[in-house]
Amino acid sequence: MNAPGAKWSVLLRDDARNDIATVASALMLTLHVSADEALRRTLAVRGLGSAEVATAEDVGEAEAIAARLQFLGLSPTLFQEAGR
Amino acid sequence: MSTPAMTPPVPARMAGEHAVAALREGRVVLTMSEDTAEVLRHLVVELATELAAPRPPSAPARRWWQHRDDQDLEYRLFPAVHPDPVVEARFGDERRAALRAEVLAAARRVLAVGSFSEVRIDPAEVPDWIAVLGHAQLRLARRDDLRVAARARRGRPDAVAVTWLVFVRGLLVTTVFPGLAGELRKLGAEATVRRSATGRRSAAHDLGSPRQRP
Repeated sequence: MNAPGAKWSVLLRDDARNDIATVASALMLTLHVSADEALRRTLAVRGLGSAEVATAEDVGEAEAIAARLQFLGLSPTLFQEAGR
Repeated sequence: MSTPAMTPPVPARMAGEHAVAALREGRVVLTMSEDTAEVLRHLVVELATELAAPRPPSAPARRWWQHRDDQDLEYRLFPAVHPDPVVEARFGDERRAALRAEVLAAARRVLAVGSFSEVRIDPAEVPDWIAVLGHAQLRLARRDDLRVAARARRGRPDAVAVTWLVFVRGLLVTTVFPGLAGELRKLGAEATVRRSATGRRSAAHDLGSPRQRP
């Protein structure tokens, strides 16, 4: 489940496209990024249908980010990249 | 669906008469008309009731399209996180139970303020409000449901309720994060310029916060 050296990505699906403000604010609250960075990541999700909004070094950290985003009403998914 | 009749119309240019938000002394002051406040509070009560006593899993699906995860409220609110179904099956129930408890606690804290007619929200309480309004919305409509606005215009109570939940949540976050509101205004202005150049109208669902609507 947690291959050594593998990075985890937190992806967001474009399933809340009615509400840019809420998605961006959830990213600001969870990832502590600026408004323009949160908006950039939100728009990337909208443009691609699904996009990475955060990375984590291990599955625990990735799950914690995902849980926070789910608490705020978003639907993240996790993706484990190939080991380095 | 027991949402009471929505007296407020679908949020539009006149929505400011029904709900406004302002920053005062570091707190968000959310003011709503009596009927808007009553309906939104009722929606949060319903959310809390369902989270406190989750229904047993629904009967097995009879049609292939009924196999969607989001037919079940808990899966709709807290969908799978792990792409590996084995991992998700192993840890998903525990995660969903924890999140359900967390959102229920947030809903109870939000309801503890009493009437929603005038609410003063500390910055630390903002995530509770965003979570609760968001999950109240997800209770009524799927995440990828892009036809809510059209149904609301036809007066469907659940869809009107969703548009109000989105509107008030948008008011809240753009008040809490003025920098985000500024970025959204820029985005809206750029979209207007693009539309003018191409002669296209915006898609009905292409809305940021209701505040950013033209």
